[in-house]
Amino acid sequence: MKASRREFIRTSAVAAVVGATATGCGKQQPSGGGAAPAAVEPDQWVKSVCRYCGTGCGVVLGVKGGKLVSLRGDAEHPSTKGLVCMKSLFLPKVVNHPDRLTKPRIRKNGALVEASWEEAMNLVCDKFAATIKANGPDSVAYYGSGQCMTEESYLANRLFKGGIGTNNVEGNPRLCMASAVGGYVSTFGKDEPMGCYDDIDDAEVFFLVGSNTAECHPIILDRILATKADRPAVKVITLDPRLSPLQGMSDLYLQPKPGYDLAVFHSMAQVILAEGLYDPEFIDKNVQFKGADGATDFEGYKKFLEDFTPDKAEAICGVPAADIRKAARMFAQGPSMSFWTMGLNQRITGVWANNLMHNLHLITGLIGKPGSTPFSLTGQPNACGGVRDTGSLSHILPYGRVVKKPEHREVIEKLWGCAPGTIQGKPGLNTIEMFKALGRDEIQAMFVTTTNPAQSLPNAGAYRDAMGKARPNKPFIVVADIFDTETTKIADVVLPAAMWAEKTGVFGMSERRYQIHPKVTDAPGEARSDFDILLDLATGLEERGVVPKGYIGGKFNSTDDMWEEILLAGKGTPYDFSGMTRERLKKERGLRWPCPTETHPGTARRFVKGDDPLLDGDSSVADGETKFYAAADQKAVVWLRPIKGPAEPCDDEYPYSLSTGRVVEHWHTGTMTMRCKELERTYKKCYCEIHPDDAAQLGVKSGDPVKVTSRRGSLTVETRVVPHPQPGTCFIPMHWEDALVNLVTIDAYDPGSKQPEFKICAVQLAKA
Amino acid sequence: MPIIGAYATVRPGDQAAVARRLAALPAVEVVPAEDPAKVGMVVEAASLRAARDLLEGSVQATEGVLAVWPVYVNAEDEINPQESDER
Repeated sequence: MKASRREFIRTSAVAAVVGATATGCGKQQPSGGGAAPAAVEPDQWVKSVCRYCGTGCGVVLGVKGGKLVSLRGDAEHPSTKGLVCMKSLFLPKVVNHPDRLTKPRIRKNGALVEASWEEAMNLVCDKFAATIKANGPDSVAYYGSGQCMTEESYLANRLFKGGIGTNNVEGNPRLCMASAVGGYVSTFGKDEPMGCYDDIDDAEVFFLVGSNTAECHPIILDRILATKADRPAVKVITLDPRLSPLQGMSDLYLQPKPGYDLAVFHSMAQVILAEGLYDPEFIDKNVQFKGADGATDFEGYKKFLEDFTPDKAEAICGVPAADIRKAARMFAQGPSMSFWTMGLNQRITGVWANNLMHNLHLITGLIGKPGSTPFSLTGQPNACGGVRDTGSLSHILPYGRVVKKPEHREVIEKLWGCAPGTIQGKPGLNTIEMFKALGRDEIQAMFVTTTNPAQSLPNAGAYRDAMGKARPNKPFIVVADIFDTETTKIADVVLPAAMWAEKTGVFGMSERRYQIHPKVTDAPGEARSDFDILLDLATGLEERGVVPKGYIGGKFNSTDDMWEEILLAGKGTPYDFSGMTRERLKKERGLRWPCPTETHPGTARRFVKGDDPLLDGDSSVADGETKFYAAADQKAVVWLRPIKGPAEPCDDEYPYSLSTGRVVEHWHTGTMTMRCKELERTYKKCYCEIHPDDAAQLGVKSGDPVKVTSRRGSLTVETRVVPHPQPGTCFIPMHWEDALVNLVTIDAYDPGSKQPEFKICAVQLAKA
Repeated sequence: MPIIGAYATVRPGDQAAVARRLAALPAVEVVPAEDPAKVGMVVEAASLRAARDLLEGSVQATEGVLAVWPVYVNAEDEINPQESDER
């Protein structure tokens, strides 16, 4: 273990250097760098995009004889400039892994047995059609993924909302970034960040909140470090209840009590106002104030913040008052860039926390300028472009539209060619409620693709039962995936899916950049793309009379066809990317929307005159100035949000607070990374980090088994005695299928975003 | 012990000579670079500060080096020196 971990880190460093010192496409991989696991020299290099996190790293795929044999960073990529992390470098091994699913399987007499595509799809279509006819359209559901291509999510959304007539369309982005969406929409009127990665190069202050950027978004951290190396005066403030690898590079590290960081944000704002560090001119032009009782004003906000002086905040959140003052003063110096991710989003106060991050930028005017922007990082390659933007969640429609608005439904019904009134005005069930409805047998058929809810849902035990427990009226579960997972184990039909390098489509990453990834190799065996599987499902449902004939069947033969309609869906909206033709995306290394014409270069910063094309011709705002045109009254909202603790605070019975997270070598439920030996061996087993003081009290030492129990379930893992978690807290990463931490986590969710509170629940710890 | 991946920019034509000079520095291992204007390296040092001092001192001062860019940092040992290699 010692040697392999060290070796892994060294290899990661070498890989990063090799990527950064490459000259571009079409040349051979330098020898000896250990960057890519190629056993043979590729005869062709093809530009593409990494399929792991939302950073959207440009990669170059090495192909030989029609087979993917190597991957390296794309030095010509404008955002990531040749850098990729180790997970990405080993993707060819995942693509070519012998465990890949190659044939459809159907459950017969309790066991999954191989079947033909015709038999499997007939069964799926028969079951879905019979359910819809017997129980209505809301008795079926789709649960997708931020790893599907944009065209696939758009097609599923089109089929279920406009064809079948149910809004029960959800996906795993509900679990990771819905609160960021809620924050953007409630503050700025529309979703998605206004800034971009270029801002990293111009920032003087980085505020990293609830983000272990070093392990979850290492390439973003690389760029931050490059900025800091270039300009040593650059400051990094980190806010995280747990010590992460960021500690070594942070100028100030704030550790609030889990769930009470809202007090830190309010207190920083209080210091900024009290010390005159705000920007009155920017506020006057661009900001409105809202609280629980409706609209208020700057004075009302100032008075509200009196309850959050640093001394009062310290009593709430545990962060020393002096550090809060220091953080506020550093932040206000600017230019300041904030990054956050699951630590803020996976909370019952996720939307509020996002609002308060935006508040800091709005009151200081540190927004819409080079180096100044709030920026939520995302965890999947296409949660932004594929699910958020295409409206593939239960309450939304493509490109900023919502199901509740009749005028939005009307536009989409017309575009999709469905009868007026087909799209329901009532949002469908959110993810947690959808799986609860499955457990009550109210949803009778569900199509799951490219995600592993039996492992990734909080309080997973209940939802594993909902999907798989034998009972007379058990719902019918279809899963399309590339490997067997905890979810395929309990599915009724398993469909072998093609992986990203085996199909052509678009990914949209965190900075609004849409990028195409081409098919470079064939899928193994009989595996097919989700796009083709969904087309078959649509056609089958048309034939069975539950979707109008010709609604989808015959209209789209490829993702290229679908893209043409997607361009129309975005046209005229604040997302407008009409200029991103297929040919252009194939030539360029992605484009950032808005991009309304074929000659437009794409937009680095939204809402900024001179950069955002949607402000062209608006004489009310000067070049370089900001206008939040998507917000009500064209002013962003500073929210006066109350403080609220976690859903399940610790008590005498469950005295420890558990948080979950990730390690750099693994991704999500480990379906892919655990099949790569070089990655798998770095962490053979799951573990629980426990503070030395707590370990002494519990009588456990590193390596001892510890039982972690919540009101919902338990697991036993190895102890790691480390000072990373605060006393009274513990941490378990989420990747191992033989140690399901989500049996323990809580499914309480934010009432606004419906995102569950994975980050905080109360547990008991005991030596096992 | 932190591990840092970095590269130095050099004038085209100087790559081999600069790589030789850097390879002679303690705690620096040169990594092959495709771009003739760069020399890649991996540095292992006792602390981040020591690594930074090395990059900004001896590496930056090496004849032919124009600038130095870190591209990868793993500093977890500074958080947890007694445990980090057991992860």
